[in-house]
Amino acid sequence: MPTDIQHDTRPQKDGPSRPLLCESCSRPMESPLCCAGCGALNPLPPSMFDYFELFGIAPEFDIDVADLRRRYLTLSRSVHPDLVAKSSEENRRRALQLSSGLNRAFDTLADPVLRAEYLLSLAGGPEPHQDKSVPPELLEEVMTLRERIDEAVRDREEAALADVRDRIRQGRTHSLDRIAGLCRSGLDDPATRRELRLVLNAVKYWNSLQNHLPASAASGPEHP
Amino acid sequence: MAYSDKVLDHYNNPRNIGSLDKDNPAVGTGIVGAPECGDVMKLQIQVDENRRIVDARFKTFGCGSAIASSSLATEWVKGKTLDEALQIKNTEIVRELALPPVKIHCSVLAEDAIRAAIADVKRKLDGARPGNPDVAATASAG
Repeated sequence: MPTDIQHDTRPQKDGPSRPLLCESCSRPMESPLCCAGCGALNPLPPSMFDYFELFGIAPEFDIDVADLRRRYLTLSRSVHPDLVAKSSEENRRRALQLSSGLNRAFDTLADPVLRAEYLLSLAGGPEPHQDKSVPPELLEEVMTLRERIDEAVRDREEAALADVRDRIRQGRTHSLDRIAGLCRSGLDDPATRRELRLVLNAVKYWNSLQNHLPASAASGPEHP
Repeated sequence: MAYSDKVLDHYNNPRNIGSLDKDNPAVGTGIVGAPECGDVMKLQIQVDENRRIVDARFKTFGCGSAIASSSLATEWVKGKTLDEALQIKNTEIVRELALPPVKIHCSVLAEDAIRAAIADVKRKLDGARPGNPDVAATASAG
């Protein structure tokens, strides 16, 4: 759950943290992670930054993941722990902290559900622990589908299993579409944010159902 | 993490597993879930005309602690009135099953399930009462 920690540690929007100055040579830092001038590593872990700002992209749901990956690889090289293997203990510690934070930032933005969670957190929540509600009837359906999975596996009913598999894929896809739609509509309205929380909770149940499906050669390629 | 003997006992010999007829007016059904782990728990109670719980069933898809918590919950609610059953606290389940801190949410789920089932049957009983005062009493016979 990557959204819990960063929320409280993000700097104030109008805080004194930008432009960042290198603490070693006092020049403005282009990358928030390390100074291009003297190579000093920023002591702040990336969790201190807005992930979108960290990668220099707009805070939107629709992002170019290939572009994000390129930006991630460029930033990764500048803080790779191997680069500072022979440097001071403090620098090695910073490099580890920065690269693990950078990985977390990339994983969060690269995945649509985690990205939506993050956008919701930036917009003010509710966070997962604050609101665990789900759409009406969902839990009952989850219960039924789990029973049907167990029965189909026990009785080796491939056709029944295929039906359940289809229903889970359909339910999950519907949730993912809804998440994208809500994020695109903007998250200023608290009612929209509550609905997004609801659908993000629902998708966890669909994921869990999917994980309980037995592996099947007939399941075909995974739809994103 | 090792499960306590009591958790293992409930896990291996779950009490009152199964379903009651959810359309029976004397049966209350509570379905609750934990989004963080995807666990779902169904707890059902059946009351007599004095609102005493005469039967309880559960079905849980989740970890051993969630199964044990709901199994224990069905044992504990049987024979209690609805108001007595509302007094059951998740902390008592934690103590009885010696649940570690990471599994406390399983006991919370069981308490939530008891409350949801009680709320459901109360809604049925009280909702039926104004129009037809005999519904509650006849329902428990069927």
